[in-house]
Amino acid sequence: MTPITFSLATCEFVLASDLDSYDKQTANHLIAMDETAKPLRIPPEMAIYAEKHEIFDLVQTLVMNLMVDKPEDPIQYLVGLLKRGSVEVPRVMLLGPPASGKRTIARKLCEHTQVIHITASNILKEDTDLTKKALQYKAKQQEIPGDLWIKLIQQRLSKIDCVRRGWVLEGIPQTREEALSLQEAGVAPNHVVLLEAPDAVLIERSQGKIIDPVTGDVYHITFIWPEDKEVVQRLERQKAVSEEQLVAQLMQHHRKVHALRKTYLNCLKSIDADQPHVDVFDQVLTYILSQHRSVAPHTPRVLLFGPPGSGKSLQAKLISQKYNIVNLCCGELLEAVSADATNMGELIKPYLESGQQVPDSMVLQILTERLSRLDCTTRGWVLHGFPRDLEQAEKLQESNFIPSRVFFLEMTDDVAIERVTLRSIDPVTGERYHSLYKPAPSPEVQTRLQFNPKDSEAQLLRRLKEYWANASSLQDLYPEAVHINADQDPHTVFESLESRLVGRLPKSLPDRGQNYS
Amino acid sequence: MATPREQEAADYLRKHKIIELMDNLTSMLFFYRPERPNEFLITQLEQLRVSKMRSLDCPSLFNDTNLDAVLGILDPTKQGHITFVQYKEALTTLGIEKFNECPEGVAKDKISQETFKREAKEGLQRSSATFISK
Repeated sequence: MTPITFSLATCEFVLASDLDSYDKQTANHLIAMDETAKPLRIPPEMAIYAEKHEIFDLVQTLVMNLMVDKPEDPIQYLVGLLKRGSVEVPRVMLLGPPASGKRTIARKLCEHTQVIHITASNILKEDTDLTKKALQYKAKQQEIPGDLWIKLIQQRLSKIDCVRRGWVLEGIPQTREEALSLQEAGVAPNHVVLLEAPDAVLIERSQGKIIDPVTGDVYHITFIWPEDKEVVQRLERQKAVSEEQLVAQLMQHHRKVHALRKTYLNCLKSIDADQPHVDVFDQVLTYILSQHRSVAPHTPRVLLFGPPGSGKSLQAKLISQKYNIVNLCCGELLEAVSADATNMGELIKPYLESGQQVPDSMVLQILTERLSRLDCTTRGWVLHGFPRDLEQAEKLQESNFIPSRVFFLEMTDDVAIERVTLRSIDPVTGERYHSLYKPAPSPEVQTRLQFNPKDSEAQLLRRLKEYWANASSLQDLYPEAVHINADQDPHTVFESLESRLVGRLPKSLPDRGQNYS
Repeated sequence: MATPREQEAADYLRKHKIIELMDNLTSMLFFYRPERPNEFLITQLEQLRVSKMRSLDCPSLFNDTNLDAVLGILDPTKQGHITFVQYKEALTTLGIEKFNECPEGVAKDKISQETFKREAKEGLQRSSATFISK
């Protein structure tokens, strides 16, 4: 059993000791002598808690750090690690040929996310024994030996400011050997950005490139010109980089970058630097805030919202088939319950028959009962048709069935009208047809077709009005919801849904002045 | 074939019983579900450290009332003792891997409640005190 399932097994047992609050099944397991493989029943509160606080990733990071640093006293080390605050900080390597804009992007990143900016030159500006040794080499015009360089980088990155706020390494590493030595030393980035642009563009750019001697900022005659007059004066006296030097640097870069790409294959992203630098920055920032696929165990709990005709039932069916999660349509659920001869069924039958809306309390009771059944808690669920308004949504939140993904399928009313009013069904075969998109195959079938009275234009307009009246308040309640354009063919919509369902949600930028996590 | 670094890492994990430590910590987290997991973990780790220094009781998920509840399940008629098979099952379910296979009373297959509680407590201490190397 994996560590987490084992610890959950011990928890289950603890809960069983408190017999009046938990399932007696677990108690029977003790008395029974043979080990029947019962499915492990994890209370939904634990799963929600684990997802909300990202426990899996926390434990993973702790163990990863332990394995890299291998401290003698792991308990002390873990306390230190946890005390430092957020364990997840940005760790970025920014690579690319000269004149691709690394300095500009790195500076902007620091402004936006408070990370520490590290370059080959500012490492040497520290005042330590190692840097003094390195400077000696530089003074003699010699290359700094590889292992000394790696030690320097490691030392800089283990300082408290880098550990707390994260770092962006600009232009480091230059070669595959450097990259591998960094890995061995325990320096591993979360994201590697490789800026790319055609050589001609880079050469042209470098013609206008000027470096401020005091701050080290990079400016350009055409694209980035400083506003401060003092800076302008300083720059006017500088010269641009010579073309031959640049071509030589470019050749060297091309040789090395291929190997670097392979080293960081799983966290590297190439970004086209031949664009205005604001656009490049936006792309870089989005990538850095995105989270890689996590292997954390995750039960999907999806809410699908959308006007009638937006394809909720279809998408829900596709999702539930592909990922083996339970498909719950609120309307169908209510009808199924009323067909049973239970108390609840008798209660809601009159409402369904007369066409009135079933009271919220009953719907909620039925829904929570269904959602707490074993198949929903273990496999996950996708729900559509509920909640319809803010009140229902709030009650759902209170009942502790918090969705992990919320989608709003967006569509204009005229598309909705077109899609819904022309819907029909063949009562003999059960096939659904549409007068425009999927007409009946033969006149025989055409005569048989039946139209659902709910799909008439008058009813549809009423339903649409109701939907839009509630839509904005629902959207406010779920700020992390994803909006998908439903006015496309079903498979495109499904792909958009999938990409947001399976991947992790990107991190959002904190307000200035707070820590990253 | 594991590289030397992989071997080192695996040895380190085994020597300091990191997996067991993480197990215990995550169990605590899921049971108590604190609002601030980082602080909770710090408290647990500090307690562990203190108990290591002063050989006190380690924090564990199970306490006396839990053990009494277990005995209640196993011995509903309150005879005062349980069978050896029950004893083994119970200790395994509690998560104790290495327990005393020959506790007092095994000859008559009647393990008294006190013996069970004592063995269980010792076993639990051993699982929580992951810092003690084999």
